[in-house]
Amino acid sequence: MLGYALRRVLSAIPIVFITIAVCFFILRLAPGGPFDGERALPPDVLRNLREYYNLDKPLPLQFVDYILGVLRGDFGPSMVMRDFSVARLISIGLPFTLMLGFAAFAIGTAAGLIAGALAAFYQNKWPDYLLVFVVLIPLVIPNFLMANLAQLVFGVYLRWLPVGGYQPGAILNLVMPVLILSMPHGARVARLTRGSMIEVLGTNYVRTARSKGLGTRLILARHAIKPALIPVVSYLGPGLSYLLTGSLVVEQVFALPGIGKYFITAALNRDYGLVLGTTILYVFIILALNLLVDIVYAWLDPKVRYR
Amino acid sequence: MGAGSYLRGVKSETYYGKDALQIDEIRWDNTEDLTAALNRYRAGELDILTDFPADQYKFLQDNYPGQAHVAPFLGVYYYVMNQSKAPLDNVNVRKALSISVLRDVIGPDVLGTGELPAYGWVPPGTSNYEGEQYMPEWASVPYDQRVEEAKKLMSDAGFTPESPLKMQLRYNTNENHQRIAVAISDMWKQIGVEVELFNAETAVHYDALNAGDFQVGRAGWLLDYSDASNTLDLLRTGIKQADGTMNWGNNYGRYSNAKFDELMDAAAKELDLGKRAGLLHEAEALAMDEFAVIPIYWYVSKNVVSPKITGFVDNAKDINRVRWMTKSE
Repeated sequence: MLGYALRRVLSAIPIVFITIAVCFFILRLAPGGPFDGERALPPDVLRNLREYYNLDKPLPLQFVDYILGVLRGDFGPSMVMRDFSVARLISIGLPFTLMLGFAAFAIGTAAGLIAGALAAFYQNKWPDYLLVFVVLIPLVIPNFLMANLAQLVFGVYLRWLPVGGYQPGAILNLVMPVLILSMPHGARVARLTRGSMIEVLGTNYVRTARSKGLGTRLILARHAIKPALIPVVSYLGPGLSYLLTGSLVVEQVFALPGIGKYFITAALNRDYGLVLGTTILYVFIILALNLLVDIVYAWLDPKVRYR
Repeated sequence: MGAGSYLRGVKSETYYGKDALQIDEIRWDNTEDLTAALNRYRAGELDILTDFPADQYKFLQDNYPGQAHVAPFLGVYYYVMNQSKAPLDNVNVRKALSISVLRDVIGPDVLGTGELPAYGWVPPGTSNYEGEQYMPEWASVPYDQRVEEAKKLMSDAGFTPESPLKMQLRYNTNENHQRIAVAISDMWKQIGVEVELFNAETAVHYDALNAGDFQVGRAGWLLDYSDASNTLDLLRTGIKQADGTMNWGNNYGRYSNAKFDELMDAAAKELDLGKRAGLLHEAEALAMDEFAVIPIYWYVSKNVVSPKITGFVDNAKDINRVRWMTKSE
């Protein structure tokens, strides 16, 4: 088990390196730079800026410098939001994004599991049909539309919830964003759970358990849950990384102070340092979660460990 | 937990005018999504919006009468023409392009927020600019006749519907810029100009304009300070650098006229504001008569102000200090 985990960790290192390299060079090949704006800068100022930000050296040398910096934990300065380092910007926004993502993950996963199990249990009866229909809605309506509709209905017309903004401690301001964010995730979990649960409930060993005279609740809890969870667990890793990295639309619409907006504006402004910093963070989150899922997977299914 | 989504300002006890201040606390919310910001306004969470989606102007006028403020703002939206290359070095081609733009429809119809048509280079309301606003004669000629004249100018320059002028129009990616570009390329089509639209994000767009790598491009200038020289300086000849290259600054179109530069120099040395305004007017007329750029509209400021707020006065700089405002509950 430990060896397996170690192998997985080591194999992640080249992936991180390759991602940084690809991102670094693509970013530099794209036309436009961090100092291009509506107003042209005088050539001398531009030269000084390029020198200050280390942009005047040959590209491969800049890359080596950047990698050495990252290894020391230094992600450099933001080139557009002066006075801020990349690490500082991320440390301001990341806790909020993590909180938002984990809350949506917990709620979505719990609701999805329960709904999926119920639908499987009542397969082809009305709760199942209702659920399959309801679950489709967040999958076909995009986030931003859903968010705007929710703002109009619950914020403007009914006035039940605040429409946007956030201050530490304002839990009510998080209700809509978290629910909107959790819905597509919950829907996918529900569909997966329903599918795999139906499959498990049809297997020979469940039939055997039933013929032994075991009650439904006991069959579900003792025999059906664990094998039915395997496909769901393999989705949870990508699902969580999607929630943590994909909350930018929700953050934007609800005016929340996460890192999503940095990522968007940094890419548009050609803020090289900030784009790379957020990309590395996202890659790290995705890799770490995939790793975690693989380990849980190995625990759930011993066959995986020896493959 | 981390930071909130707004800046908060409170009345300072050491501020000399604190007794006159009516508002004790202000929150500046940074909301990038304009539709969402409007939703927050409608729910009563925000009292003032400093922008709103143009396509919601009609809705606001119908449902929140008097709350959407649209007022002239010191800035000009224009198209630059690259005069360092043929055929836009030809003043008649530039003239044909400029006079065939029907500016009256851009603000009210294309954008829907009533921006005012621009024919000159210094926005109305600019300080230190006594005298009549520049208005070319062709502006009062009926549009059909202008189109006919433009057609003739184009055919004199060798461009006919059979062998049209093929041109690229660049703009930075934005819904409003796109609408205007589509409308204007349609206006140019009738005088025998085939336009290829090309959009890129802001950094790429201005990179191309700076490098002179374009034919016609969208640009805008919001005045840094209220003075006519702030826009007129954009049309000065570039400055030769030590390495022999030219620094054209913000003069993307590379318009160059020695007489214009002389007038600007003279104005810079003139201490009498009235005389200085005269020189600047002369410079403006000179550049506009040569179609140095195609001004399209004067910018407007767009605010939404709750009826609870008093003391918000529309002005050309769009600066409204909270110290002069009051809020009733």
